[in-house]
Amino acid sequence: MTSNAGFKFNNSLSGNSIVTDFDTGQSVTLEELAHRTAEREIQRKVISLNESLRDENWRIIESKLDTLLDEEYDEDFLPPTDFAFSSVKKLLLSINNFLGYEMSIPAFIVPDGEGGVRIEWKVNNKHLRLALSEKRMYLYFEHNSKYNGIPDFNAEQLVEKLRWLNQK
Amino acid sequence: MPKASISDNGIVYRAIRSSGWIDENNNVALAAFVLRESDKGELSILLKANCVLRICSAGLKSCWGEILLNVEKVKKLNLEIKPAPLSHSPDHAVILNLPLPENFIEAERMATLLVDSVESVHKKPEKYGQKLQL
Repeated sequence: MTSNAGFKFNNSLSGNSIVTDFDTGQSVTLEELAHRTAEREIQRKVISLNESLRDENWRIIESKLDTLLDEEYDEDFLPPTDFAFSSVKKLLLSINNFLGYEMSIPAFIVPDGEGGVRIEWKVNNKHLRLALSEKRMYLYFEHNSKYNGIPDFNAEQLVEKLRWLNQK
Repeated sequence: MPKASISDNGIVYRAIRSSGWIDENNNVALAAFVLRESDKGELSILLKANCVLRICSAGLKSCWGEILLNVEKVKKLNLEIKPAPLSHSPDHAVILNLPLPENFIEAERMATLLVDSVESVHKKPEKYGQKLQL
């Protein structure tokens, strides 16, 4: 007998009945299969929830990024260059996809007025700031009066600092 | 025209250059206090702010309001406030001794300290109202 739930009964129905787990091809007891099925269902829900949070995070981040395009600029306060805007957008998208629910929404995404973009996070009195322009890029981080920075950072360093931001 | 005086227990005003500098809870982005290369070591402020929708005291084409800074707290950070000598406006002043952009770690740290000098924020309701309607 074949069920619709990804397994096949091999003999009579009881907790000790041997069935085939279609996901792995293994023969397991019905009890074990029930346990595995429940675990897989939880995993599916966790993945689905993570994807929902990731998508919602990105919707908010992208909306904040897009406000950079609606700003008023003049000769003393310049808009982000295409390079700065697209670099920041690509970086945030890839890191949001990587971190999923661990991604923190920036408090501020603002132009630096000289063609660059600044991003500021503040979580639990921890500060993380990112500056990116054609002239310079850096990360700055601060907690309880201890502070430091990383010039010319890479994506891995940003991921590390975003995880640090959420550590208690 | 005589330059306005800078009282130790007074208030000075930093023009809000980007609508994004202030969030919906009136928190201020540190970006407001980090020098740009074009600032040439001087953070531009106003001694008086009489801005209305179309006329900005600082003569800025784009200004969303002002951040009010406590002079005493600013000076406690070993920063100096002086009238801007070359400005056409008697209300224009500058904050000196801020770390330069190339010293970004100290510049960012100073921004953290300087934001504690913020007394309040005055957003131009007309401008923010326009933005909400967009």
